[in-house]
Amino acid sequence: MNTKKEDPVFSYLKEHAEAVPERSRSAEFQLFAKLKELREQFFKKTLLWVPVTMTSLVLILFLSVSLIQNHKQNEVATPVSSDMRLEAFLEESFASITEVAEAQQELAFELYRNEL
Amino acid sequence: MATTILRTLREGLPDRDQVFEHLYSQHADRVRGILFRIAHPNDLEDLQQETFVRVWKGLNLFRRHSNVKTWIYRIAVNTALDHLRLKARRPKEVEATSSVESVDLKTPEDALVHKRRVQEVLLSLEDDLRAVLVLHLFENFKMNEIAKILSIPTGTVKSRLHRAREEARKYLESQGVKL
Repeated sequence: MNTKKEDPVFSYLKEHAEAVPERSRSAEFQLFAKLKELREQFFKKTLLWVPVTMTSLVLILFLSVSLIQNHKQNEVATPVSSDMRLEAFLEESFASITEVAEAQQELAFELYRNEL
Repeated sequence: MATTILRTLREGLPDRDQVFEHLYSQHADRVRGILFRIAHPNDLEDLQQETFVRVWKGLNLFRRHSNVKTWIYRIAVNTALDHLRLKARRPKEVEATSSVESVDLKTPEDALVHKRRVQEVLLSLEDDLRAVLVLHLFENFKMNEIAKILSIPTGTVKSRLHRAREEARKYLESQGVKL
């Protein structure tokens, strides 16, 4: 059953409907100009984002490598430096103790000699 | 190598443009018909541009297994409906042109009056009813095609078409048109 042909409402609407205006050249020109503009925008965005993204990636990579290297150096250097500092302190302290002991010993010996 | 990449970027995607031009030449007339009758005729050129810009932008995202025809007409219907919702001016249009009173028009201006009345009938319908009516009556889509375009079941298409016809009948009868 074809309702479009038989139904009076549909027949009326179809019979009296205004025809669709033909395509206009100027509208088509505008459409394709708009698409050209969109392409240009796409190109500019790409041109902008490619170097920005690449630079960011390189920068992040460089910072990460530096950070890792620095961390490794610290891990190795800290105990050595700490040991050395402790060793130096002990040596210095021992030297002082030795000097004091020697001085005391010398003084005692001197007193003993004088008493004699 | 770099020159080739730059040229490709500058020219966009050549394949996409070729595909677009083909789609435009194939479907522009029907898209215009849909936009002309679902939205207001005065906005036809703007809506046509909007529809095809959406098509162009969506070409890369278009799912290959979908029917390209269905996809384009769905965009057209949605563009028209979006436009109507945005403007929300349908009541004003109906009000502005609903003063036609003549029943048996036999003057040279009859055609114009009838055209205006058809436009009034279409604008008086709810958006979803008008979309179904336009696709079926003026663009000759089958029920299953309309169902795909509007993403609704075929049964819903039939019921909406029935309601659209009844509402159009009531409107025409209220205007004194003998059917």
